[in-house]
Amino acid sequence: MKRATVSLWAGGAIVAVILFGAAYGLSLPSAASIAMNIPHRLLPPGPGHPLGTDQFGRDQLTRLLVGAEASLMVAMVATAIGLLFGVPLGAVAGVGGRWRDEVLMRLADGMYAFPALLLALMVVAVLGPGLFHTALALGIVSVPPFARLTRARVLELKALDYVEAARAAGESESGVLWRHLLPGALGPLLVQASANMGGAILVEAALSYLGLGVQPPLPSWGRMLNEAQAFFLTSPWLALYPGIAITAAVLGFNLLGDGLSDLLDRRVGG
Amino acid sequence: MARFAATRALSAALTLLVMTAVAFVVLQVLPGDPAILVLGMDADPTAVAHLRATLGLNQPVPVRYGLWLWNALHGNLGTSLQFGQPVAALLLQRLPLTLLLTAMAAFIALVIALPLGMAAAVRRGGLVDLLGVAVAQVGAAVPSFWLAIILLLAFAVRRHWLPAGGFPGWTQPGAVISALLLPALALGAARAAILTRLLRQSVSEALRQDFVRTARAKGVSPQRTLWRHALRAAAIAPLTVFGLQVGELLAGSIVVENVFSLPGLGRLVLYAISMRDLPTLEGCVLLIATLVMTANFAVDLLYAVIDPRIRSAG
Amino acid sequence: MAGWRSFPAAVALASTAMLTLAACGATAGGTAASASGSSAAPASASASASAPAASPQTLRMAIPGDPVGFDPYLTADANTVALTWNLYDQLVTVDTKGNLQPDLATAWTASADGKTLTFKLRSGVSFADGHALTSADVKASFQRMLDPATKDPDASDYKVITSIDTPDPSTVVMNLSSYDAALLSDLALPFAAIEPAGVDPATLKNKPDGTGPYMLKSWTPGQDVVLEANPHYWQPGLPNIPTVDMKIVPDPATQIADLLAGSVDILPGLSGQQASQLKGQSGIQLEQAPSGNIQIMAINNARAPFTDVRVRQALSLGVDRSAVVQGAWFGYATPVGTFLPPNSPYYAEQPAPYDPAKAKQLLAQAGLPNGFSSTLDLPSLYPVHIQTGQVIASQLAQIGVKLKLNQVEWATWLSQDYGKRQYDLTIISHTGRLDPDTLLVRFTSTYPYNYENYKNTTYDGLIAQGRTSQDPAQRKQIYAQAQSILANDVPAVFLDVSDNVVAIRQNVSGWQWLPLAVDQLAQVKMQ
Repeated sequence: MKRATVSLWAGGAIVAVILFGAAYGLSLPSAASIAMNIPHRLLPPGPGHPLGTDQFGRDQLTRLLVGAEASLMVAMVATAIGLLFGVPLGAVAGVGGRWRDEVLMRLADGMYAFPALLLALMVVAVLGPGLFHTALALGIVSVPPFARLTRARVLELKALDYVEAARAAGESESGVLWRHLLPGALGPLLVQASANMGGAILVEAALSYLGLGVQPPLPSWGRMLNEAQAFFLTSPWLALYPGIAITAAVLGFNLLGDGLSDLLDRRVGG
Repeated sequence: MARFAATRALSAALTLLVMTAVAFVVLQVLPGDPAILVLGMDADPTAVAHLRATLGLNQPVPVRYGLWLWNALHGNLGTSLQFGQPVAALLLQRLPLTLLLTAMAAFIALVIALPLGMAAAVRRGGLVDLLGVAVAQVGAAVPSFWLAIILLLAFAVRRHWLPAGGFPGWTQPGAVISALLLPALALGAARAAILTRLLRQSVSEALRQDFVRTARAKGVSPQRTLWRHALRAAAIAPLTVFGLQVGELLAGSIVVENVFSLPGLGRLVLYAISMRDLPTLEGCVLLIATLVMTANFAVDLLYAVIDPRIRSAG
Repeated sequence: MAGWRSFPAAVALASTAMLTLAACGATAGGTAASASGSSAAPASASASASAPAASPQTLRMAIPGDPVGFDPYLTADANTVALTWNLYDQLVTVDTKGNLQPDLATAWTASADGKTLTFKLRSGVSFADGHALTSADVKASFQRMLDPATKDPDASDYKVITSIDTPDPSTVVMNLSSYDAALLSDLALPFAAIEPAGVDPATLKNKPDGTGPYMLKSWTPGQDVVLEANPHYWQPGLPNIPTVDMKIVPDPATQIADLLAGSVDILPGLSGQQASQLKGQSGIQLEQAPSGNIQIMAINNARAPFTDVRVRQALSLGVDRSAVVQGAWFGYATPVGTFLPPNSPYYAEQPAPYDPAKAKQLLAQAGLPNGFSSTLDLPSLYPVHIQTGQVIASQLAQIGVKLKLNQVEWATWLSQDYGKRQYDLTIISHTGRLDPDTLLVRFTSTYPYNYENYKNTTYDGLIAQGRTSQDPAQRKQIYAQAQSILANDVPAVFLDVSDNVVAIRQNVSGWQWLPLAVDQLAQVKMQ
């Protein structure tokens, strides 16, 4: 009991901090994170610049906050896409006949087993880099887990007695399932969504690090790490903070997901 | 059992086909001309056109895919557009490095996760458990390429304890290990975290099982109980995850190999995409997909062997 | 089952074994390095005083990418020719000041009309496989280079050669279709390497055979290229260092780390960013020289609003080049207002002031008082162009020009921007060769890669004249005129000329920067 509460609160707190940070970043004038000041480049953390400046003299802290926007936005859109397409697909697979199920699930399994980064890389390579395309790529990658989850749920429900009874009473199978599916599946889907957020932030960071994600001069944590590498001899702090930010964000969502999962387990009595 | 293996193999083959077709189509859609890439910016346009024709780049896509597939089935994966060497040879050259790297990373993950996970499971609720969980959570959240950069900074640049990247060749095993140690650490740490959580989960569940209590009641020593019964029962969940881990390890190696400038498979993939080296990319996709499928297949089989209930379910 | 209990012990044993091996490896790597003569760690002199240092056998270099084979007739790739410069010789060569010097030809004369060039070949020169150089090899080389079947991407530079006669084994006579002022200096380029006759050309890609100071020992793609001294090299005493190990290290940060860790002895082709990191590091010396590399912001002259010369001029006035030099090159570049590098004898300085007020005026005159929006393509392969793009975008924003930055992969850039000319603005560098014509010809309307879509018949006429003039003074005048046209018409905003920088460890000396993009290794020494 205690551990679940800790996870939930800790995760929730971290996510809240990140959301506030992103909101604050949004409220800043758009030039704040991209205004250059070359004479003040590569300053160590100090007065006026709590986290130092980068190679163009831009304030690290501001860029970190605005970068939160990019990461969160991509993760949210990706998760939304995953839900929007994954749930119906999984439901169709579960409800439908053996063939539909087999084909859809083999496809999903194939994508699932294939490394997400590689898939996202190829999709971004086709569509071109940029915020929205990255979100789309990650969205495509997010569909299989949601689909599988939903399908498993649907199969479980199909086997339940009252569903059989309802069918015997003349209700259509799909009608029954939809009415009973959602309340039960909501919990696990929420948990999966939370985990998905964490995973998406990680993959987005990797893509940006490789130069394929968010484009300059928009800040992005992964890209900031890429740029920081060139200066690690004289300005090692530049490589520190974006990594901490990524870790914190992913940690927050993972903890939140775990806490929710434990909470639900307890409710269901499992 | 045979039917189970057969269905699994068939679906794996199907997935492989789909993946290679997707990669093929992807590169067709991508703008960018391998010929001008090979010849350079100032190349004579007629020379570029000649090269395109020679490389067969003007034929329709399905024809080219069909050709490639036919050749691949006969073991001929074509020639790299950039390197001019047979793709199969390139892949074989780079595969051992990536395999060794992922093996070392998996080993490191196991070395960290096993004691930590078991200790956490045994002393559930205690300080060790809390520590283990905390470390696992943070470890799973850390981006492996960032860990790679930090390790590089700390141990190769600030202090010259280990090489800062590059691969010295296979002649000296000592040099090989030291070149791969930091990258393997970066790769393995994240896996270790996930494995720790899983082990902790499944081992503690197994400990609560009846047969463990029965064994203890019979007078079998606690340690023997732990290792023999609990581990065997607990091995199932991590084993299935291990199949997935292979995919994650390979994906992670793409970025880590980049950070450390290691000439492995992961680096080759990135390079092939950016250079539109279609034959090489196809070969890489085929190889990576095969490795992941094989790992999953092996795990599925092992799973079926351990738990007879799975076999009959088909 | 005792086996399970000993499992943790086995794991512990294996880990210890692995760590011990690694430690041995780290020290073994260190001792191997000192045996090859580099000062491995920034250690004190006492460390090396214990045993006399063996005379240095291997020079270790880091290069940013793999070569594309080793035949300079098959590619124009920069990494490749920088390397093959050491495997092959040309008829002529250049010195550090850009003057032509004899190489395989000891003397040359031109006929009065300039259409016949006669070269006297050096005696006692052999290829790496042992056979002696004769005029037949020179003839075969150019024949092969100019043969359309070879698909040499640089053949067009030499197509003015119609035939070659070989009256005797040490004389080569080139017959030209017309006088070409650039030909002689083009013969010094690595693309004009002299290859052996009678060798199956297909083998030269992976088994080069040249008269240069080094031979290829091995190439492991993605890992390294190893060169060893050519025993038949015609200059006695060279090369100084018998083996060169070129490690392929694409990542600039890793290159620096390797240099500092002592696993690399020299690092040529440093970016300004890297150089700024290495300045002041003990044990490392930086040597710089101006290069022939000009960075420009190319403008698609065929697209609105760039069709109006006032808009283009406004762009040039709205860019603070010294800020670009600081921001992108960390000071390792020189601002320019023209399309020739300052170290060229034909360079005619053009003013390139930073005047945002005037820029805004011009835009208003052109009917764009509130500025306009456009896209700036940046080839992602070159971080310095991405840096420059960001600096310029923030400057031009202040005159009302809102630029959207678009990072483009190299393959795409070559195909879309350079090939199909589908872009608004883009940033790229062009490397001049030795003759001014090779750079300035890019803006003639008939040049196949005039991707700026610039058309000016006066300019075309001047360039054609310059190419056929035999009088250096006249050429200088012609090119001065041409440059002033470019400065007024602004088909592209000329930004800066970067420096060539090399970082060498203190025990290395003898590095020379040539006005070509090559890494000349024969004269480098190591203690």
